[in-house]
Amino acid sequence: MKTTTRAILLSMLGLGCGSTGPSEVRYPIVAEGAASAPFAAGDWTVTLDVARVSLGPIYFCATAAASSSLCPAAVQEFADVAEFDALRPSAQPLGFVTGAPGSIRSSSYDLGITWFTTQRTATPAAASAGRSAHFEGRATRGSRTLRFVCDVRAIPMLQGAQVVQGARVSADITGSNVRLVVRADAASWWTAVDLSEVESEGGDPVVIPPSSRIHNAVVVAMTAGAPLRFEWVSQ
Amino acid sequence: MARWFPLRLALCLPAALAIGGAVPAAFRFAWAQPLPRPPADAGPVDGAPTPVSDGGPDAGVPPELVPPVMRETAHPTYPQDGDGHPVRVLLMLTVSPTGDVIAAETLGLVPAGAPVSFERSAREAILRMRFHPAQRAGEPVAVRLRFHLTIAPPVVELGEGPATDAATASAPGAPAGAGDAGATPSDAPPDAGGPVPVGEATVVAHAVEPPRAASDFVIDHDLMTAAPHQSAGDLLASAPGVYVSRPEGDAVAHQVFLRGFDAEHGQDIQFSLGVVPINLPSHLHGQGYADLNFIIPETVRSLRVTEGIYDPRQGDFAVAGSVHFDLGVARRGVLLRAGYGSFGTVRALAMWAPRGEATETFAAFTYRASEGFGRNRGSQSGGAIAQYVFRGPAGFRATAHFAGYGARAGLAGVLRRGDVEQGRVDFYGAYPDPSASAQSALSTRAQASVALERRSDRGALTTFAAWFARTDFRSRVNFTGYTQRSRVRPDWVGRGDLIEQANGDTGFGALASHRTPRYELTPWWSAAFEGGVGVRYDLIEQAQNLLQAPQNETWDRRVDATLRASDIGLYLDADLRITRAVRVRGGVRADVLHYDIDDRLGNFTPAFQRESHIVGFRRTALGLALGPRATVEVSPFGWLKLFASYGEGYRSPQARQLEEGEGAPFARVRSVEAGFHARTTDGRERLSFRGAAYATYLSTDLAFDPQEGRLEPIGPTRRVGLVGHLIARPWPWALASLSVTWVYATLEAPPPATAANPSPPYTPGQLLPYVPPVVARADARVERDLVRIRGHALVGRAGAGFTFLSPRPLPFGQFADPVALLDVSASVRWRAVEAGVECFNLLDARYAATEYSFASDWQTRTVPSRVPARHLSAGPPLTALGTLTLHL
Repeated sequence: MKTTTRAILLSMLGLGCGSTGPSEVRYPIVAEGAASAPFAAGDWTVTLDVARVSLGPIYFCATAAASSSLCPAAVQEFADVAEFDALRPSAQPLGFVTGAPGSIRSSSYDLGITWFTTQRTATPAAASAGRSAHFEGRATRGSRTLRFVCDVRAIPMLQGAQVVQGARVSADITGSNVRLVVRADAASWWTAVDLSEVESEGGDPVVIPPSSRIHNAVVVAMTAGAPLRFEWVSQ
Repeated sequence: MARWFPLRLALCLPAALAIGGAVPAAFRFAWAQPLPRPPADAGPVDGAPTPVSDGGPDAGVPPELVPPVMRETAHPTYPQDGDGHPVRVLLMLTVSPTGDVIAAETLGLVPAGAPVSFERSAREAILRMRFHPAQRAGEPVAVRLRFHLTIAPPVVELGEGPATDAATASAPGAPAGAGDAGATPSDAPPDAGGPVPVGEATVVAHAVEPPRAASDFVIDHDLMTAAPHQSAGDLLASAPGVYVSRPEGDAVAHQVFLRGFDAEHGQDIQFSLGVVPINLPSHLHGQGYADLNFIIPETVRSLRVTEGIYDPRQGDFAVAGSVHFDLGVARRGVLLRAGYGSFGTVRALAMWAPRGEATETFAAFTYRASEGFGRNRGSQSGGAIAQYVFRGPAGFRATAHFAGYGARAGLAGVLRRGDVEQGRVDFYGAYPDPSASAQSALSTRAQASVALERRSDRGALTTFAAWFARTDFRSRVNFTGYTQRSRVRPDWVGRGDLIEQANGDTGFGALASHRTPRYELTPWWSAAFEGGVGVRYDLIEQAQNLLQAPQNETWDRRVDATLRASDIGLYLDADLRITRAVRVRGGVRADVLHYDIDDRLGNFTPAFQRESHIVGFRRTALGLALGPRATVEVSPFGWLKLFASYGEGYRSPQARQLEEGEGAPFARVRSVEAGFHARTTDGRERLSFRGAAYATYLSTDLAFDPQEGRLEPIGPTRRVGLVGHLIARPWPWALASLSVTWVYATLEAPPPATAANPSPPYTPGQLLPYVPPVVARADARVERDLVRIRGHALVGRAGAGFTFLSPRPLPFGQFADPVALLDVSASVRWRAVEAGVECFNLLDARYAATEYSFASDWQTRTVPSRVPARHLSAGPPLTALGTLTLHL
């Protein structure tokens, strides 16, 4: 039925004084990175040249302790997967967040690899090129320069769960006149990494394997140590 | 009798009665009197009375004259100024060649001092009656006949539902006031279908009980059958404010909306059939689950739809109101009907209503099969109902009843509206998924009852009844696709949310009541009192599991319980007449309910906790529900009645939600209403209009939770609204009805967000979800003789019903689309053969029988959405059914 017709009908029926609960909201989501700059990681000085991160889906819940069982219905969601450049400070459109107005107290999300209840194994999204993040960089220690490449795979621990469960956020979304800014600091994910582990590996660049401690340290940093930050700003 | 019979046999019109409609009136045929001329008060009908012959009352009936046969009766109303005793009204009727009563002349009242209002009541009822016309040499002719109508006070139906009517026979020549003093069917066939030569026969009709409120409706046979119906539940559509659908297929109870209440499968409406309650307490699929599919629609004589709670006899589940099905077959004899139509639908009906027995005596059997209007919608069902009325001496009357029914149907389930709009799944289809394809439902019911009643000469009425019913229900439905996680084995997920529900209920009960004679305290003040008790016991077995299709392997257990529930009710009712224009009725009802719950999965130990006890939680609860009801009725003029009503009712709790020692927290409802009933007083009641403004306050409402496939509390709710119902009978062969109900229904205090439900779909003050603010319904029917073929009329009949629902609010700020449906039927009958066609949803509107809003994952998107989305269950498209009927 056409919206106009419905509006007329409802007006005629005197329903204008009655709300029907919250209506739908839809607003853009953008990602902002941090410009590349050398930073210290142990006794290495690291410079990231490439940091592409896959993000999504994101489910925003009203409870502070969300999990797949405690948040069967989300308030809002970004039901997609998109990749962004974590070294680019300018806003990169990822898509739209949709849902109902309301309070958001937690977020649960994946980094491009999902393990939905209907997936037998953890599965990379098509937009993620089979990984959660792709990094290329240079590390120097004295005269030693080590170029490295790392494809990070952040996999949910349980089927039906997400790689980040119940991350605290706080927002009261009442309309669509906002946008969600996702902020990523790629350098912070590598500060706790000891690249000496791969120093002796051959190849140029050195490929950091997924079974390495470096890989796991980056995953932990991305999902727990320095996770993505969500900020809702008025448009 | 013997003294009179030979003479009467020779002189009198054979009393061939086939009483239809809800109220068997007291009909006493005397002489069929050929018309010398059209009566002065003959109405403007086709086929003016044809002179047959001269002859006075004793001149006898020409042997070739075939007398008229009663085809449809109508309700007489026991006048307000009656003293509680039967009154016989002697009339001279003129029955036209079309079978219509075109004139009714009052000859007298017995006793002679009876109020003149009895005459008016009798004339109003008789002018609405219809006959198969008298015939001479195969040609219909007009006749005049003497007719005795005895109007007796209303009989209290033994069920917990409102009182309806019952008929008894009186001996020929029985004195007035002793009309129910027991004739046998053989000497006084009250409602025989075929011409039976009887000297004089009197059938006493217990008039329909006066309404308890302006919106206390009796849907008589005329109106009920104006539009085509596919099931007994669909008959409710003709009542104001009612919308009926079957979103879960042919083996699951109807979903009923009544006056701002989404009664789901019966939670807010008390349904009863005769003395047997239909609602099932604490049913797993929905509190008060009432499956009406076992009722064969052709056996329903009338419906009483009481909207509101104003009668002390209304018990559990009478929150929005109550519906009472009254069974009876007007057209006596054998009826064989076969139908075939769209989607391979086949229906067969065999019904036998033995002539010479009461209209409530009959046996019927039906079978129906259909491939359904879309994928996984096939169904089969069969049922039988039989009743027999015994008449004993001294005013005793007994009715034995049994019914059986079984149905199995596939279910297409619900579809995400977005998937339909984007072409991922057909509107009438189902998800191509093993879990969706495994959806089905099965239901069975077997019930029996015996009801005894005795009416004294002074008008007292004593009743006693006992009933037994066994029902079984098993459904497999998947609303949410693949979202659930096993509680027993948390690592099991994504196996399909195919919820299996099983509910078995063995119920039995008894009822007794006594109504006193009317005591006249002063000439202008009289009173009658009534009291009744009822007991009910239910033994309920419940189970709910998650199944993995297609092997239906159990992968989670959610409910495994045995419930024992009892309801002991008491009511007192007083009927005070204060002056001739004011009547006050009211009383109080009290129910004590007890529950014994063996919840075998209670105190469940989650997988991540160490076991510290044996799983199981047994508990008991008992509570009292008490509520007054009262109605003031004022009749300032003969054509106008004003009503003001107030009542408090209750709905029993879902037993599994009770805690140990809890006082059975009933959902309490308060209902108030003011309205009027205006009607023309031209005898035929060409126009009747009821209007009412009402408000209801419910302490705890329920709404469907698709996560669990059952009803969950949503807090207190409030409804205010208006209802109007117009019935027009402009000509004897035409009937039209229009009703409009508007309601403003809001949630007062929905449950707040919790850890288990962090995103509650409801906010305080919002419109009540799923409830259509406006429900409009129109019915129309015409029936006339078309032509004559070989001396017999070809009778044509056409009917239509139109339903409109305004957009329904859904959770999360959404509205369902409006619904507009048109059903039509047409038939022709020649002698014993009738052919017809019925079309449902003639405009082929594509509509949702019901809509929900919740989160689901049917794997139709790469990334599943967890935000609640609109889901729909498709209503049936254009459906045609051809029928061939033999009346033997």
